[in-house]
Amino acid sequence: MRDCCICCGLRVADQPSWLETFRVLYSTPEGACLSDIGRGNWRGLSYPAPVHDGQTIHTRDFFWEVQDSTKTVVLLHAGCWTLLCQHLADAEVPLCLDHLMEMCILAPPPDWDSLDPQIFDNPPDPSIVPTIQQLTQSDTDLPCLARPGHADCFSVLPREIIEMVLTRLLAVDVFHLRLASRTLGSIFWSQTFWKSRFAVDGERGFLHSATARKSAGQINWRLLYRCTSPSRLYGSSLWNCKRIWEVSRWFIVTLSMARRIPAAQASPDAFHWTNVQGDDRDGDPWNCVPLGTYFGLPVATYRIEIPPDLVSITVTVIREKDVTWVTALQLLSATHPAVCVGYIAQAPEIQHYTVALPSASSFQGFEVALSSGGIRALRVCSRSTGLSSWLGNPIDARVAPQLEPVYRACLTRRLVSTGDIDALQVTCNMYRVVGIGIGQRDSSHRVDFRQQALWHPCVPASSLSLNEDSFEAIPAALGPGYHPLYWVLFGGPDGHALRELTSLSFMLSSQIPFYYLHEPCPRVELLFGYEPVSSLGDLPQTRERRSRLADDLPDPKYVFRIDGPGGERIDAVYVAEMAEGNNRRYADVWGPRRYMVCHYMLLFPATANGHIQISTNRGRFCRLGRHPTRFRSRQEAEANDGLSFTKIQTTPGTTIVGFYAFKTAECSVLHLGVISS
Amino acid sequence: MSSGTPSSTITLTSSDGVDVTVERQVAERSVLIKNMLEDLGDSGEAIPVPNVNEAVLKKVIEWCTHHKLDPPSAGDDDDSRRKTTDIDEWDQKFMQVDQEMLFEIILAANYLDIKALLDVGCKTVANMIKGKSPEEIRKTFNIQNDFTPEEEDQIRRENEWAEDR
Repeated sequence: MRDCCICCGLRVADQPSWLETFRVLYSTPEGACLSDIGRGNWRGLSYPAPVHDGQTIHTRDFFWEVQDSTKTVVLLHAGCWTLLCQHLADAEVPLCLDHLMEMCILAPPPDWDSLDPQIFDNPPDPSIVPTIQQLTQSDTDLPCLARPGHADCFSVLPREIIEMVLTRLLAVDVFHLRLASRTLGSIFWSQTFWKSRFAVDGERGFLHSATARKSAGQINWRLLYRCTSPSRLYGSSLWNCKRIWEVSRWFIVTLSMARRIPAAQASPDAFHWTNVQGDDRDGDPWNCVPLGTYFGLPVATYRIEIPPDLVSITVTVIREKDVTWVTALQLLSATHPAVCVGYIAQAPEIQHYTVALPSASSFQGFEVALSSGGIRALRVCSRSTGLSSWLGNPIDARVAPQLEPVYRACLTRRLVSTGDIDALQVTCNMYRVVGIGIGQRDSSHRVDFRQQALWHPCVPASSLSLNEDSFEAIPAALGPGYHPLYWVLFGGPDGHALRELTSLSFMLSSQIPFYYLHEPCPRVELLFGYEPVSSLGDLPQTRERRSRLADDLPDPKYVFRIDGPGGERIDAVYVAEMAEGNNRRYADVWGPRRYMVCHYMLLFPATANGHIQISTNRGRFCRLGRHPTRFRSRQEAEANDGLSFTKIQTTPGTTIVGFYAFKTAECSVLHLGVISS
Repeated sequence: MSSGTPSSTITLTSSDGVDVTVERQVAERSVLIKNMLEDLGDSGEAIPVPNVNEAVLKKVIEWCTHHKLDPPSAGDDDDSRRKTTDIDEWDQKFMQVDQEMLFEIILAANYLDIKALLDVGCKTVANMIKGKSPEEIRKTFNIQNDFTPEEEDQIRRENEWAEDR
């Protein structure tokens, strides 16, 4: 459980004073309860919060000492709680502590990335909101500029109707519209439009209460919008107020979501099912929540038959910070009532995307973008029109284009079928879709490793040979659960980069960086973590890359040099069966301790006993892992360590240009596959 | 005020001179017609609808017929919230028309004062714009790009002035 405020992401602290007082939301057998206001005991490093019956909760116990899965505690600063309640009331969402508690468990992690260290140390009080006059006094409005020209289709609509349309859109959409339509350019000068940004769920909704008290004519809404842009507010009390409002919006939307269950469910036994599903362990593979649950909260699975006269599929997504999650699917048919499964709410954060289909038989399934937390986005595959654009966003929206592969969800075409699809299976947690499946009466769905596996950053091109006959982890990778396969082409798609490859590092536990022409920074990197959260990818010299390098510069001892320019190539990879228990013991020790975050365990090499050996055409080799046995040759290891190595067979006539890796979450064993071209 | 028992059907005359007979309850989804019937009484004569042609009028009547039992104020009236863009299933299908007809329906709904239909129309247009690039919007609405580079630059600068990142 987090030891920071669910709203602002900061801890209880003695300075500044607004961080000192807090409440806790805690579970009891009778339901969730809220404590009175507590104050940190800095000498004893405990956080005593009084509760209604005269008792005190020492939250220190909950956070660190009691790892009792039946107890859940959520921390909120007293001021943040007041703001959350105010935002819920403004949006007319009733406060139910039990429901709030459940959603607190699923709430996105705090956005610490945006916090400057100085602000982190001395965050401004979010309850101090400047007056409208103070906010706008240092700036002036733009002069109105008329642009005559040809009329377009929008010119037939009166201004008040155009305003009715545009008040339903985000400002960014309207900015795009101004660049498309000459007629709509003038909407920039409409105070009605700018005022709508300050609605309770508008872009400036954090100022709704402050502006609602003013009469419309008193405010220049356009100027106020400009003066309250994120960059201008950064570091101010209003900026912190906005952060808390954004978290509150997430609660408002998720608490007001209505579950849609199909009236008639398809029989699970009537179809052959192919599924993909996330496996939310808070990014921590050792966080042993019960299987089939999300943070211990139940998931529910619904199955629906595809109507014979299907005309469209609507995918509903929630925008959550910088990513989207699918929350519902709706099948619209020509004659039957629509079937909707999942969660729907009316809010700007909820978006619907519809793909029309000429007939039910043209529906061939979905390409799925999946993270451990659930379905991020879908593409509908149709016989007549091929793959649709993404419904939802498979990429973290805040990421610059050159970083895209790093922050992309894993992709799979497991749910794309050449045969007819007769049913869908949707698995939901408390507000979003965490798994999806297709059901077919005819089970001739082709089993193709490339299509079936879950890949990061994307499905490898069919021109690359995956040599899957030698990849022993196929059953585990394609089995139930969330098992992404990470892959990298260190030789480029045609092997041209092999001539520049000069070293790789085999020390690091969650990635293998590849270096070219003795450059200090790796150009590519093979990840084998649980979630694609940190990788250099094919990055230019970015700040992120430099900071990563400072942290992760490999010890020269663990660098395997390859004379690529001189013609040296990796020509063989050998793998040995892992001895049972050697790595599993870590999971036994740490795994059952729920909520015990043990990320440092990730530092243990995935290949602790060096069961993978990479050899070159010059007879040189390295064994992955940092155990001293890496210095032994394969033959020595076989003799001394009781290991039996097998060479990964590659397609004859091809050269090794890449690896793919799969790491089991439970015991951190790495399985390596070879890509050749 | 209406005199006697109102008849169950009335006749509307479209701008192109076509008489359309419609159930009174259906026609009264239009606040304009409802007020006219209340103010002038039901004389049995055709009511002219000078701004709406036959094709659009029939489309509007189709919508009013489907929604004749809806509660009177189904529109989005709350100014404190940003208005939604959710459209129910039947209305989605109803609005699958070309852009010209869509705008005609919106104008007719505005003239006839049918707030819920006007809302559906505005939502449909908003959904056609949402998340699209300027080029995609032009394509959707068949707009020719006639901005000079200077004008485009000026609009960009105004946009950036407002969204100072």
